[in-house]
Amino acid sequence: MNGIVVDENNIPLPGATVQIRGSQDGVITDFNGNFSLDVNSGTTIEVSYTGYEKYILTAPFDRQVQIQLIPSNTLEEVVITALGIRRAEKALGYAVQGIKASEISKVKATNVVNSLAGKVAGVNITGSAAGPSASSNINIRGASSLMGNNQPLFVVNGMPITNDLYTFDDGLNGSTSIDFGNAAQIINTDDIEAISVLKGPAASALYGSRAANGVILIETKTGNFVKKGLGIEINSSVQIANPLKLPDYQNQYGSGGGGKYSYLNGSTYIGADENYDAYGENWGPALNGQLIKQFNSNGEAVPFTKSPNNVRDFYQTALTHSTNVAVNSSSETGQSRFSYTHLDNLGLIPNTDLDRNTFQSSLGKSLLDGRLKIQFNNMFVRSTSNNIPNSGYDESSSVMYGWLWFPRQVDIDDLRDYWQPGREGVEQRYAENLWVNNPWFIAYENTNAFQSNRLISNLQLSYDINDKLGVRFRYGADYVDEQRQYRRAPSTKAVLNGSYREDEISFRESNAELIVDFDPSPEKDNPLDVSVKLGGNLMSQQANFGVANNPELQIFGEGPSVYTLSNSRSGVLVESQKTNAEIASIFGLVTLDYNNWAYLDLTYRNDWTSTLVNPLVGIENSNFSFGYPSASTSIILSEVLDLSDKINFLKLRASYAEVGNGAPAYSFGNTYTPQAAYGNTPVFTAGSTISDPDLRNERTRATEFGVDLRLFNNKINIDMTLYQMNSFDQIISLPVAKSSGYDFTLTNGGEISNKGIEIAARFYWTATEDFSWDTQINYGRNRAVVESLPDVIQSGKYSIVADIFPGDEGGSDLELVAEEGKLLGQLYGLGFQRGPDGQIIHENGLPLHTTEKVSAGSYQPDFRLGILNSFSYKNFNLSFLFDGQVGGNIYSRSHALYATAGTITNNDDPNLPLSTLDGRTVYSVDYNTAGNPVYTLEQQGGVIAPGLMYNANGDLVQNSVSVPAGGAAYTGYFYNYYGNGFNRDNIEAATYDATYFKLRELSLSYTLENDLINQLGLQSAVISLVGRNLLLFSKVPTIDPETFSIRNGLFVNGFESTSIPSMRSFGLNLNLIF
Amino acid sequence: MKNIKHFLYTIVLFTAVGCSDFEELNLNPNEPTTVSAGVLFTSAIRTSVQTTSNEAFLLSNNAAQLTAKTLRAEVDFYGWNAFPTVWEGLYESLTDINNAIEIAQEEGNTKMEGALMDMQAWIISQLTNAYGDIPYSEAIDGLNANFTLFMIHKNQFIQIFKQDLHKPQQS
Repeated sequence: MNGIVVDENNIPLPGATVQIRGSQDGVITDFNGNFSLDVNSGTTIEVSYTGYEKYILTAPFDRQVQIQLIPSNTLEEVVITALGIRRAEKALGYAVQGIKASEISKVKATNVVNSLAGKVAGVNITGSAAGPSASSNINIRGASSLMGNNQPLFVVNGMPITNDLYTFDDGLNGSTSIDFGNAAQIINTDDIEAISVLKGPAASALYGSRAANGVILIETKTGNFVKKGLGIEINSSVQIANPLKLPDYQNQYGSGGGGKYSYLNGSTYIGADENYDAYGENWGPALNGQLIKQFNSNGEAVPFTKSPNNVRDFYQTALTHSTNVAVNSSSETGQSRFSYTHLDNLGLIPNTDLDRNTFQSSLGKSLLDGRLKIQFNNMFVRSTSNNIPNSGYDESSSVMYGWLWFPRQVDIDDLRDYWQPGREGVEQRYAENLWVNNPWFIAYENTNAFQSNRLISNLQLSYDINDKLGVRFRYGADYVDEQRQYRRAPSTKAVLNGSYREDEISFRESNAELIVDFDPSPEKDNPLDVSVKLGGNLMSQQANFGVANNPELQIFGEGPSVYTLSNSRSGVLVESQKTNAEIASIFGLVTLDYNNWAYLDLTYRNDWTSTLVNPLVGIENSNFSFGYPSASTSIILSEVLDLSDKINFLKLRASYAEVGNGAPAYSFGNTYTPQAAYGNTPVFTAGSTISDPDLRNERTRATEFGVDLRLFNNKINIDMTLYQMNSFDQIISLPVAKSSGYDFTLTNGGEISNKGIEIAARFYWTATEDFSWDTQINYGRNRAVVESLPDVIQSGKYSIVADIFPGDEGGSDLELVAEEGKLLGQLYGLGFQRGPDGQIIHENGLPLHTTEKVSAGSYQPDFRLGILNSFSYKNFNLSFLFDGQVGGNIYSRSHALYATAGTITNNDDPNLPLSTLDGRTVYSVDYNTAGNPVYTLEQQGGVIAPGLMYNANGDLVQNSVSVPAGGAAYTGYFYNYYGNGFNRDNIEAATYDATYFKLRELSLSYTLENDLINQLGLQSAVISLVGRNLLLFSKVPTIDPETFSIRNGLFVNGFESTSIPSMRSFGLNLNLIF
Repeated sequence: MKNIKHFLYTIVLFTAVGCSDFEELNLNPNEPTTVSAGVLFTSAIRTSVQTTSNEAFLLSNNAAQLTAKTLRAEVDFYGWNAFPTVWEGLYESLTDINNAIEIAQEEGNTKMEGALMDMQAWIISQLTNAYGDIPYSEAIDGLNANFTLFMIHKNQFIQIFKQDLHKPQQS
């Protein structure tokens, strides 16, 4: 039998499968769509091709046939499900959303997680701008756990990989803000074939105790990508980026306090002659050109003028190059793909960068007439950076800290020579000597470098014993090996002698999995089709962290020998931590398919977890075995009911599942912690945490209902899901009374519920030969509520992070709190005392703060929405994605500090209708014969804040007391609005509605004409202009509200501090296939 | 069907191999679970004496406004809030003392035990001098600790001297 397979436009389809039904015998069409097969006439033949309806025919007598395949409508779409099993989407009783390679590779993001934003309903992605390796926080269907990061499990080619942060201390001044990134970000978008998001527990139940936060399945490309023998693909892109949003800096007043300033030696806070030259804020004289002594004027009085772009001029245009070359080959019995990608990035902050080389290979071979298949994938990634910026409230190495107080009169180029002349490597040069480090000095001297090697490898063997029974073995390994070096140069404020630290991180995870696949009726001739899969998995994890810190350098100067561990003045502090964990599992999956319209899946997984074995009582008495069942059903009503012909497809689905979240290793057993030795005597102290001997896994029970509806010739597709998840037995670290002998107890208790709705809608408005337009809408609303807390917490409140900004001493701390009966993640701090109508009550013109902490609401948005429009006209394609959230709160510490320092105008603050430019006390500056400043009052400052006050009779009346906006020391209005004097402990003052929308992605592509590409010897060529984060719509002042903080390796939503500006990027992409 | 059985056995075997060393695997390799009484004693002496001497200076001078906290050069700050340092520092030392006493008893080291009990009595006397009635006889017992049982101030002194100080000599 000979024939040709063509598509709906009579164009030959190469690579289509022509197979004798019920057997493994068959062929693949060649490049021209032709095939030839030896069969007896009368044999049933199946012709299949991905994306097309299966074609079945009876082999005719010796003659040429033309087989035309019809594109399958989207309901035949195949998605990757748990364990890498490909299934028709219509058969699934739970929500899985697939993303194709083209949807993420066009507008590239350095962190692959960011490229998912707005494209999956119910998935909340918060990007960050903290340097070239910045993390991305991804939460699927809310948060199920009080402690921990609630990040999904990442699975590449069927094998889990790590997505940890590997940030394991709090840094100087309590800010782990050097963001080396989430580990899964290194997956290269050019190598990704497809991504599948397993959103709910029913979809992820086969991952058992690692599944509570959902699963992201990533499949990498194979050589099957090309349909002829050999193909070469080249992708190249270049992107430039600049700040999307900068604070509204004021340019009318310069450095100083109380309206006064004159440079003396850079070290007087106020001083006997009121120089205010190290006051460190912008409450000084007017920038009107008057003659004032300045830091670089050698004692001469020179014009005091504004420098409006000093911060903007410091930032450089970020530049990202990415080039990918892939060589593909495929034959009837095998395929291979080799790909190399080079990515280099220069960051927004000078001297920050990232360099990443990815080698990916995929080898597949089909043996024994296709019964044995071998697949071997490798990905090796080498990432290096000479400097990752710090975005914390950390004067030693954060440029962002310095901007809060940065003198509005200082030109950034005047600071470019950051060493004192003749004191290179010893003493820095800056506009004052008490508080802030020179930003150039930070960028070029106080660096945070890393070198990371990552190998993700997996091998898959599958063997069909007969047509009923198959077996598959997979082995996957993920190796991380990373070194980090932190330098702090001598004369760094807060680290005057300089310091040097090295971190060593190694991590390994391996998984071995065996699955037996039993399909008793492969002919599919029964109405009820059953298939069974049984398997086991063995997971093993080893992590090793080492820190060596030289806190004070002995020898100063320039040269590489300065920054070593041995150049130590006071000894090197060493810390190390090892972690080992294993999980052994068995699982099973039974799939029932009744006449292709009713489906039932039953799964069960049992995990034996090493971290739950209590060595004190022995393995026999430990409770470390937990089972996770799930059941899901899908009924396609449109197959059985006589529905209106406007309804093409109607499916209902329902599921129930239980999944877990594991306990940390070494939770049991009291250990002794070493302390600094006393002379030669070693010193140990009892550990501060005592664990519940019956500690269990966290457990989530979930139900989910969904409907999938396609209308009007499949022009409208709507997929809606309702779910409820209850996560109980929360593993929680409770503070206990010190008189018990311990600080904390680790125990189970409390419950979080997540309820939500997700809608993914597709509209294929029009599709003619020349023009098509379609729209995707992804909507997700999730409410994570703290249903209960352990009984011992009598206050009903548990601090998830007890002190968000520990750098501030004294005062009340801002907290992230779980409160019974309320949305998870309440932002706590002091509030304002308010009158009956909600107005702030003042005393002596300054606002009164509450004495008890109050909540300013939760970070959780009301809903998230992504809208993607795509237009095609002839060879052009235009698409743009709007994405954002409505509701939720964010506290901006940047704004609070900028305003107290008088550095910004405060004109964009929706909470406080006062400008820092009004009500200032202003003096003009002159000099006496001794050269000391003589001040003349130009304007007596005073603002009357809107609100109330008590009159002499104790009645509330309108506030009428005037106070200076920013006085000497911390007496001004702005200082006292954001908290008590020196403390910024008022949460209400700088908490804003975090609603925002972004023009997240924009791309305009042109596919070259066939004639032209043939002349060039190409198969296809596409050129695209792309943009990312082009527009931001938000009422939050000073910052981009899409941000988070990191504390002790934990993502903290709802709090922003000194974040690096997010970036708007533009680029050009070229895709060539030979 | 026979084939399936074979594979099931393989899978079960596969996982059984995995669980065999879980007990050893979950032993903390980072910190010791047993130490000598001496190294804990050093910690207890250092912590308790440092706590009392530091806080005696800082707290009382701050209370009398003779000194102020120095946040930065030229930015002095006089503030008053809760100071849990004495309570926490002394109870932390008591935890180490109690653990050390247990270890000393196991070792049969009565001299060490006697010295530890002297120190224990001193720390408790500091605590009860500062706070009056305190959790004592059933405190420092981890999850079993009973925080509601307070000893009467007077009885505390009597007990310290009667029982604790003389116990090693009696035994």
